[in-house]
Amino acid sequence: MSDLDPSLEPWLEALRTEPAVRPEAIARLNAALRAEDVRAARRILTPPAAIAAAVVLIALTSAFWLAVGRWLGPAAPQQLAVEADLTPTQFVLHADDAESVTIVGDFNDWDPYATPLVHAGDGVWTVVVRLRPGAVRYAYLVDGTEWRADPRGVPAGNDFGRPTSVAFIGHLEAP
Amino acid sequence: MSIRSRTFAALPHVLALAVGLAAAPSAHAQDRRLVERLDPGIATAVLALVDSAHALELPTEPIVQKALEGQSKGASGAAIVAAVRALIHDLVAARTALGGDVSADVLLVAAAVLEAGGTPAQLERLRPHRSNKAFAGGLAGMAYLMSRGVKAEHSLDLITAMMKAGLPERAYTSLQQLVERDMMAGAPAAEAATVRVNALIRHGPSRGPGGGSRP
Repeated sequence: MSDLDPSLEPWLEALRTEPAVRPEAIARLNAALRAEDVRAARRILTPPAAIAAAVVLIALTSAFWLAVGRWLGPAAPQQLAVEADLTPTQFVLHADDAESVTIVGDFNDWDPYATPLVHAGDGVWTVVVRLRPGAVRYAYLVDGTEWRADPRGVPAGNDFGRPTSVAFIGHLEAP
Repeated sequence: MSIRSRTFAALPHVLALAVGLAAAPSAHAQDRRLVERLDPGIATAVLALVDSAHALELPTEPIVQKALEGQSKGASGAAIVAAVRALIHDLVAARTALGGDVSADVLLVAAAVLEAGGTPAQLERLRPHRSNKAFAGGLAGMAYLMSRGVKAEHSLDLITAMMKAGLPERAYTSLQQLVERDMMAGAPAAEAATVRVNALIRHGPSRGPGGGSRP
C-alpha cells in the first residue's frame, strides 16, 4: 500500500469509512424479504394443499380402520375360535302350536332370524349349533314374538324382561 | 422465526390433527353391529363403555353381546346401558377376586357366578385353584348349581371339593347332567348335587367326551 500515489490517500480513507445506514432503506429491504418468504411458503404448502393432504390422510386412515372394523366385526368370534375347539351342541324345544322357532344367543349376535330350528314332527323342534367352550347365553323365539327359556337348560334370569338360558360348553377331552 | 419456518412448524400439527380425527374412533368403536342395530345415542353410550372395558383390558365381546341381546329383546336404551354397566362391574369384580392373569373365558364364567348370586369373596376362595386345568369348568359348575337353587356357600363347598380332588372338566359336565336327571326324578337340587359330587369324587366321572351334546 506504501507504493500508492499519495494523491489517492483521501479516496482510500473515504472507502475505509462505512456509509451511514438509512433506516428507510432497511425497512424496504426487510419488507421485500418478508414478501419473498410468503411467496416461497405459499409455493411449498398452500392452504388448499394442506387441507387436501389432511382429507386424503383422513380418508386413508378411515379406510384402514373400517377394514380393521370389518375384520373384527361379526365374524371375528368365529374366526378366532379354533375349529377343533367347537362343540356340536343340540338344542331341542317342544312347541306344539309353533309355526317357527329360532334360537337366539351369543353365538349368533342375538339375531332372531339367523338360526332356525327344524320341525322334527310331533311339535319337536331341533337344531345343532357348533359352540366355543365357555358360557353361552341364549333363548328361543317362537313365531317371532314369544321368548322362551330352554325348559331343559339352565335358567339365567330374566334379562330385559325376557327369559334367558345359559349353557356351559366344556372343552372336548380325549376319552 | 420466518413465515416459511412457521409454516413448516405447523405442518406436523396439521397432520397430527388429521391423524387424530381419523383415528379417534378405536377399533372397538368401529363395531358395526352396535352402530347398525342400536339407536345412535345408545350406540354411542355403549361404544364408550366398550372402549372403557377395552382400556381396562376386559373382554369386550360379551359386552357387545349383552347390548345386542337387549336390542333383540326390545329393551329400552336405558335398560341396555344399565345391563352393560352391570356386566362390566361383574367382570371387574371377578378379575379382582381371581387375579389379573386369568383368561377371558374364566372371567366370563366367573361373572356368571356373580350374576347367579355369588359374591366376590366366594370367588376369591377359589383363587388357589386357578391353575387347575378344569378351573373354568368348576366355575361353570358353581354357576349351574346356583342357578338350580343350590345356595352359593354350599355350591362353593361342593365345587371346592371337586377341584381339590383334581377332577377333569368332564366331571362338571357330568355333574350337571346327573343333577338334572335327579331333579327330573323329583330330588331337591342341593341334595342331588351333594350325592352326585361325593360319587364323582369317589369314583370319578364316566369316561367319554366332555363336551355336552345338550346344553
